[in-house]
Amino acid sequence: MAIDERVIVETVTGMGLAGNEEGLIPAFGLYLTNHYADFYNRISFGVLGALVRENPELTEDAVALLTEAAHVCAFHTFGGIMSSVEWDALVQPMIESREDWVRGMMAVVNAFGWGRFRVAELLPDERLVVELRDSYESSGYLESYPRTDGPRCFLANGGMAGLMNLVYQGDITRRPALTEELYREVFSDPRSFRSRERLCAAKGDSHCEFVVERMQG
Amino acid sequence: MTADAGQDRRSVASYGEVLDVVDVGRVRLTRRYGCIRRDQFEIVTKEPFPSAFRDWIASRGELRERPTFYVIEAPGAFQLTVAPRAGRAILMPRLATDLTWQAQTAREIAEVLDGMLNHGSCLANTRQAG
Ligand SMILES: [Zn+2]
Repeated sequence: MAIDERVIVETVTGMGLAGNEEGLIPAFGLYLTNHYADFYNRISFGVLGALVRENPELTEDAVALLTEAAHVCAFHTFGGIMSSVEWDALVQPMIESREDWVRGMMAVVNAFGWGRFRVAELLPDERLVVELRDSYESSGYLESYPRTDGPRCFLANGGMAGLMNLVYQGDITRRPALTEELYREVFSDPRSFRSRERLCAAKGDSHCEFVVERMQG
Repeated sequence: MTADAGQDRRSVASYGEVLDVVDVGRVRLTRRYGCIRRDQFEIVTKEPFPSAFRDWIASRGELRERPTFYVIEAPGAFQLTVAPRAGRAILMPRLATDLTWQAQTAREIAEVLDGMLNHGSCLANTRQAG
C-alpha cells in the first residue's frame, strides 16, 4: 500500500483535535497549538524587521536565526509525529520505502492545514523539491508588508530541511530519542541537508518552492 | 513501577527521557519524563491489543474512535491513545493527578492488558485503575 494522502487527511481532520480542560491538545506525541498564523507571522517578521532596522548587515543573521528555529521545530515536531502512536496506526502500514516517510509526513502536514504541500521531486538520500500553495507565511507577509525581493517562508523552508535530516541523516525510522545531542549531531554534520526557498509568493511567484539538498554532496 | 522509581533521575531529566522500563508480564511499560509534575507512559505488546481492552478502557472516559486507532479522554485523569494493531499505546496523565497516581494507573492498565492477553478476557482479577 502506498501513502494514501486522502485517508490520512480524512482521518486526522476527523480526530476532533481540540483543547482539553488543561488548554492543551495532546496528539501525535506532541502538544499541538491552535493559534493565529498572523500572530506567529507578526513575531517572526518583527524579529527580522527589528534586526534589519538595527543594522541592515544583520539581515543574513536574522534569517539564520529564524531558520535555526525552524530546524529545531521540525526536529521535535516532525520527529515526534513520526514516533507517535497515531503514526504507527495510520501511516506506518502504508509505508513501503524510506521515501514514504517523507510523503507520509507531507500528508500529515497538509491535514494540519499548514498549507498545501506537494512533493514535486524526491531523489532518495539526495534531493527533495516541494511546492507549497497557500503558505500562511507568504500570504501573511503580503498582508502587512510590500512585496519583497527575497523569500519569506522561513518556518516552512527550515521545516523541509528538518524533514530530510530526520529521514536520511538522523534515521527516524529507528525511532531515536529526540535529544538535544541528536539534534546537534544531525544538523551540524557537514553532509546534512539545508533548504533553499527558490520561489516564494511573497516575492511575486505564483507559489512557494523549496529545494532541499546536502550541504556537501 | 513504583512512584519513586527514577526519582533521582527525574531531578536532572529533560523532556522525553526514559526514567524506567518494566515488563508487566507480556506488556512493556516505559516511563518518560514529561515535566516536573507529569510523566508519560508507553505501553507496548508484541501482539495486537484485544478489543476487550478497548471496551474496558472506554468505560473510563469518552472514546473517540478512528478506523485505525482510538483515544480515551478521561478529564481530570488522563488521555490514552491506542494503536491496537501495532500493539502500542501512550498514556498522558493530566496535571490534576500526582506522580504516584500516574505510575499506579499506568501499572494497572498494563496489568489489565496483560491479563487479557493471557486469558483472552477482561475479567482477570484486576483492580480498578483510579
Ligand atoms: Zn514562500
